[in-house]
Amino acid sequence: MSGTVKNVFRNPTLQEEVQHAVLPSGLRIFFCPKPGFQKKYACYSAYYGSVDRLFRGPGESQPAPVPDGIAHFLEHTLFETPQGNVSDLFSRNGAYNNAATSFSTTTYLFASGDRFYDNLGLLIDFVENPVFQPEKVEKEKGIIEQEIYRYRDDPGWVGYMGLLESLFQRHPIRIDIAGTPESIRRIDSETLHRCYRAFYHPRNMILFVIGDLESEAVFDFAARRSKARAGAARSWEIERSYPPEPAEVERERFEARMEVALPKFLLGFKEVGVPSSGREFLSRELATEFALDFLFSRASDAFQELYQAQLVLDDFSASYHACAGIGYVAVGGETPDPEGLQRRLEELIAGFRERGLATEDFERQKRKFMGGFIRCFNSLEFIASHYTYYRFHDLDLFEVIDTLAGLGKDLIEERIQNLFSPQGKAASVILPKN
Amino acid sequence: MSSPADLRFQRFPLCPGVHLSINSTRKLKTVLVKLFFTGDLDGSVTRKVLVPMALRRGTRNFPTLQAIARHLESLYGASLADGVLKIGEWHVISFRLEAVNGRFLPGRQEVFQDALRFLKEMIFDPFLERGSFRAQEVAQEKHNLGRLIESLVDDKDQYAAERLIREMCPDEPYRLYEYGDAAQLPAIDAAGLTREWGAWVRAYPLEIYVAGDVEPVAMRDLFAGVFGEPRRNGFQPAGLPPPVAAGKTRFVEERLAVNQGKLGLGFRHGITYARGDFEAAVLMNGILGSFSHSKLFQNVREKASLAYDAHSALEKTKGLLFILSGIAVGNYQKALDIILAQVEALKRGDISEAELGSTRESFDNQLQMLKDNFSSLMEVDFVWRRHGQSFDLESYRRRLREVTGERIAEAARKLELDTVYFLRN
Repeated sequence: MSGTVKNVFRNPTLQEEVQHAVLPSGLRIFFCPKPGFQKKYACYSAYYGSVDRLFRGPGESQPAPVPDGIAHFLEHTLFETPQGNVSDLFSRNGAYNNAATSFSTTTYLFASGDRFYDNLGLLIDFVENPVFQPEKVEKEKGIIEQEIYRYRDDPGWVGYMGLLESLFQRHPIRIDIAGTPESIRRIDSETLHRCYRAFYHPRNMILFVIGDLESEAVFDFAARRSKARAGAARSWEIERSYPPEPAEVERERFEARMEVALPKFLLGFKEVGVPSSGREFLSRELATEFALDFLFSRASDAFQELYQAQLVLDDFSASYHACAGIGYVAVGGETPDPEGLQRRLEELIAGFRERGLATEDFERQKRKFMGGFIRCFNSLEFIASHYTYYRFHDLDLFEVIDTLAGLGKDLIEERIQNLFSPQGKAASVILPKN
Repeated sequence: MSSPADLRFQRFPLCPGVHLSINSTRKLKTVLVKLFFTGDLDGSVTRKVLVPMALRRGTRNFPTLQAIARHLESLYGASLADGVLKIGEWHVISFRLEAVNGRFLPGRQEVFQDALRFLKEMIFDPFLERGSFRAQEVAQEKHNLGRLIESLVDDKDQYAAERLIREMCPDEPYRLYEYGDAAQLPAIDAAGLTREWGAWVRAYPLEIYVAGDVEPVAMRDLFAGVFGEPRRNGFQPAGLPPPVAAGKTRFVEERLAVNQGKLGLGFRHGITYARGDFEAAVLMNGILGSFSHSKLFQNVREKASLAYDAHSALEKTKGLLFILSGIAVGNYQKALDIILAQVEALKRGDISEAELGSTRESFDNQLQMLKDNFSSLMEVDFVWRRHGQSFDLESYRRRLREVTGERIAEAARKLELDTVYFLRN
């Protein structure tokens, strides 16, 4: 395997290791050996998602926008190969395959027991050799339109996107990943090709393989199979433009009426100027999740009170997501009384900022996070997807457990103080039709 | 590390009505436990579902929701959840406990035994006031269950699937929604619910499964000490439901303010785990609508571009088959025609080599990968056992591989269309 560098990352707590090589093209390959497992799993990911809608690609002179929903549309398009739909080809080998587009990544994956290398070859080939046939592009519009309508009947998704549209004025996180029926009608082969050239460059991609396999065989096979436009490594550059996002929200409240039994409520807070990679990104992400868990988990005083008062149900939760320079918190769930819940949540948040975090709670929660993280390593899919996610952010998944262990109480208290900016607050409410 | 013992559960009787099945594996970083209490799908469904909700509210030593949550957090985030299964006309309450194996924890702390003791306490030793669940908490959980039942409508796919069943099986227990009926809630009080708990928690047959890097004999002794109390009054769940013939096809339409229509078809075929050519029915459903190469996905989505999703599901205890697809409302007739044409093609034996080969390979791979999924393995083993069959993964794989196109067509010819349900705007 000439021209490749190989490192091994080990974690003694988890008793896991991941091996790493870089192809001359710049493609990063990771392999996690899992002796004894029957399932073998691989995912090929691009650091490219729905937020990348304005960019200057290789060889382009100006940043130019693309229609909303194109990253997701491109994901669908790649499935069409000259030999037929790639899912049929995986099916012939008995493999399960899928793909997903998020705000910041696109991932193609398969899982199989037998014939792993047939499937890995297929995965590498179809991701690296797209065909943009105009008639297939047109046909796909009907399917994606139905996918969009399906989401528009999903109150959870409508409420979530309603919150993001309200929190953010300009950042593309406020735009639905799949776009709209109108925006996808403007997509054509040429624009798809432009996005592909810009973002599916080997230096912007990661191949992750996990299972009971021989390490040398995995790396050799991938190195031989991945043509990945060899030699292009040095010439690639991309400039992603995200419009500057003000600290203020677009609007304080989103409301929609849908066929639901009970109102669905989310309270959100935005952050701008969030680090987008490295240790700072990780400790901020972890400390924020830790803070939210302390404030709103089932073990919290707040949950106990809200549940007793029947303002919330079992689905009540809080989450944090950071992406492309912004971050946001979303807290809520089903409630009979959205206004009452909002009022009480805001009072509780003000109270937290005064009180801080007790040492006993902090230590107990740390145990919970450690245990939860170890448990996740039962899942091959978790290891593959999270390892890739953190690598795209210039981090190693194994760093998470060490960062967790070293997380200080002061950092979490800082998060509790600064997470809930009054000017960055918005609410989203889905109300029943009648 | 992958030995044949890895694939099978070792089963031990703990006492009359209670069995323990152990899978000793080094693949897991946790120890996983599942409990299945089997009752009947009948008028008690709502009450039975409410019992674990009341149990979650407090135990003798951890009397509040918060005390329980904190205790589980201190056990390195042990997770404890309850669930409901509808298997034909049986109604199963399950509990799932998962705790990190001590060999991954600082100082190799053993948390599993504490977690297991807590699981027992939650089920058998709830917080009682004068021998009864607390009235206020029962009232709250009744309310919560009511909301849960009503919120079925929030997920239009699930809602349509349930509505189809209700329309199709009006005189069979199978019509009942596994989470119960909101109309029954007002009649339930704390004392009655406590009686319901007492009636099933110590009476219903209990199957316990455990998987992880554990020593089987030590585990058996541990569980015998914790769950070794014999079942009382020898409750036996009902036998297998008799086959029901499809009458004249019924067409049902329902209107809600939706963007996308949901078309559901219900068929009867009568093939079950215990009756008829089971493996052929599984392959038949695979070719029809389990995979992306299946007839429904290919013809409704890929060729006609009518839907994002079109799939079929096989019910294996009563012998039913359901098809569900999300379509534009205006395409109702077109989609229905294409779907029915796929069923007719199957009946004619119109099955290509590629369809048969891909379906065989896909099931074969699924079963191979199932060997890593202990939570699913537990459920599969339990369900087969419920039907008086033993689940041997390798021999089942072999039997599926041997199914021919003719046997599949034969199974398909048993499909009788019973009900067509359309959710539209």
